[in-house]
Amino acid sequence: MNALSMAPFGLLALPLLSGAVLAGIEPRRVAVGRAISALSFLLQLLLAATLVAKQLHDAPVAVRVAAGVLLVLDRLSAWMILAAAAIALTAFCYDAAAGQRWSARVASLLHIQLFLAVAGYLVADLASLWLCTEASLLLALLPAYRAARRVRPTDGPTFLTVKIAATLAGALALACIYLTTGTFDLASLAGIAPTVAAGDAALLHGAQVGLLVVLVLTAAGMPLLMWAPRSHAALPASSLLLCVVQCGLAIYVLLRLYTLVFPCVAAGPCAAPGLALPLGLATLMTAVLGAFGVERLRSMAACLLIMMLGLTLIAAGNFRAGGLAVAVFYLMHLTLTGAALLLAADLVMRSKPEPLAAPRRRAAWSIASLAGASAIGLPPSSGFVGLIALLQASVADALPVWTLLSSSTLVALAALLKRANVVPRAADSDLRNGGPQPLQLAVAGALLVALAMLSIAAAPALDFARATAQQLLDRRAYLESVAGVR
Amino acid sequence: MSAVLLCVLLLPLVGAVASLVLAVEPRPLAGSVAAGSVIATALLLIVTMQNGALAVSLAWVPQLGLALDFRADPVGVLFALALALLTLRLVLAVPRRAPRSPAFFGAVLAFAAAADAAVLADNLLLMVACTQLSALGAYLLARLDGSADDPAIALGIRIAGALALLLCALIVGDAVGSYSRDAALSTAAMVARQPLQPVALALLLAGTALQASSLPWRKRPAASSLVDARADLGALASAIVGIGIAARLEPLAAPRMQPLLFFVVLVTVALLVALARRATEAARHAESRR
Repeated sequence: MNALSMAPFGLLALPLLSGAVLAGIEPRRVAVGRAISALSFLLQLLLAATLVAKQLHDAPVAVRVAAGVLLVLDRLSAWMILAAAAIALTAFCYDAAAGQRWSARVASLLHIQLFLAVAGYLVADLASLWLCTEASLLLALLPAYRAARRVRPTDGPTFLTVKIAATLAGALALACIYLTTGTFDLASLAGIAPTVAAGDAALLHGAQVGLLVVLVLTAAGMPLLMWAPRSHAALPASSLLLCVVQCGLAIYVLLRLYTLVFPCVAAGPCAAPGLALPLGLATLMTAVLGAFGVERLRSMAACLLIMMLGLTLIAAGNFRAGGLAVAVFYLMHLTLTGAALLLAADLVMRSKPEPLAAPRRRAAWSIASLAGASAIGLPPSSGFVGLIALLQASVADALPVWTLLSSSTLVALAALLKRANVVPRAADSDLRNGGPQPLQLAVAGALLVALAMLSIAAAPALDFARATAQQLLDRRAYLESVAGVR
Repeated sequence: MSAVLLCVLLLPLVGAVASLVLAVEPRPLAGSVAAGSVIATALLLIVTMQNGALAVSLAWVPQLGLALDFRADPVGVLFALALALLTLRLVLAVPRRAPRSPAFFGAVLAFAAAADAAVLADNLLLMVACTQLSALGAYLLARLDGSADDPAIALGIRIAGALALLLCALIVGDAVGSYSRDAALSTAAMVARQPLQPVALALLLAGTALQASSLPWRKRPAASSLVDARADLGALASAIVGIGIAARLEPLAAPRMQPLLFFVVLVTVALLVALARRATEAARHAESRR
């Protein structure tokens, strides 16, 4: 067993072990707890970065672990793990910089959430993938449910009803897939799905459609996105960041399933291309209208995050190489811009109106404005590069897609400008922790620097995205790597 | 000699940073730094005119056809010179007794840099990006100057214009297979045969018209304030960017459409001259009242 094949173990073991250790640590040993967290996140980040560099040229790596669970590491999963580790480290630094009271339970939760996300990116089994996605969403939104109940009692039950309905629909879709194919193993499914009997094809087709809608819903997209901005607005900043990871995980599952298991081939049923584009367009339009309509800055930031999610879905559109490459690039852009936006909105809300706080307040507004400009695709941000790539990739559907993209950019710009003229209301402000700290501004600023780097290095990033899209569509390489460990 | 063109593009940016960093105290120095860099840019543009069509090319995202290509052709240099003169008037329209903050001069120069880049860009996508940046610069300028006009509306109109230009660039780029302005102009006949050519032309006209139409049309009293005069000058500069782009892409239009485009450009230029006179008179009037 070479070093690379051991990597998935390390990626899973690090957050799980540190989460377990932190859960058992005494609450007064703050320095030890923070040191363990920092070390674990840094190691995770380094390991993930090494794997991304390694996976630039290698084929997927499959490893069988205990109880027959199969892990597969490829370019997309390595990149997504790197993004998740970076976001978790950012969340940790932001919380530490705020000088809030340290809680072993919250710190442990952060590591467990990272573990679930990493497991989701690695497992090659549909049921485990689904479980990881659901558990990760549940852990990310538990604080949201509690906060939403505190802020507005009617939100909690609505959110819970939507979530339970989505989970049931997802479970039903999985059951249908198992009934028609008899397996949850992704590699086996990839072989069986195109050859199911004519009688079962309709059931499998229905399961594909259902799963697609549920995954889009899990990523906070259409058809029921309206609960997400409000729930997001009620979350603490670190949990908000993990919602970005959650969105990324749902999109990852979608890309993996509809390129490997249910690809669009002439012989089999093909649900995704017909639905992903309309769902993406609907998500985009609803999100920008929401951004224009909402009053709270954090809700607007969440709407802009969902807008980028819609753009990613539009890019994935027909699940072909050109569009997939843009979708992967948008995932990079979404992760950095979404995190910067959510942190900046949090910083603005923490700003005090007194003159003493003016420089920090101005800095917070500047970060929010730059992140907002990047989200709507103004130059020279990575959003502009992504927008051009998306417009070029959608030449086939030029008129409807271009019209909707242009109008959504204008509406989102109008939403930003409307917000720029409004001073945060007292009800919006959250001054319990004494306003934004310089280190918190530095953390949000670091995300902007990363965004600028993505914009400057857009050419290699697009090359990586194209190679990732090619690998996603290369089903044979994936199946061969899995066959090697059977 | 392409270093001269690079200096033309970078000098306003250097001036913007210098006016922010060096001119915090004493404040009047910020205006001098800004005026100095604009005059130097104008002089370099004159040098550029005497050295033929200089070009600068830097790769950015070759996969998308997006490159930092600039070419100092006579039309572009002419518009850049007009912009430099307007920027100088904008800087000089700030009285020494009531200086604006260094951030204002920084915004003026950042706007000038983006506007120059827009009329000198030799890549269609870069042209759109610089147009959007100049619109953002004009917005920032008006916000920092405390203009009574709502700069957000003007920004929205200009960004809408830039989006129309972007779609036009995509159609042309798709037809030609390159986003280089030179390539597009040299294969204008091929573009003219495309079924989407009328759409591209309509988008080009709409884009440039929206850039030029964000002027403050509302009637002001004869004795306008200096802030109003500066707002007019800023809007005028933005309009010149739009007209400059239209003039540089004019050969793309089918021969029978070129007189129409020329007529639109001519009428808009006449309106701009009238507005420039009004702004200058208002500025002079406000200065004499002080």
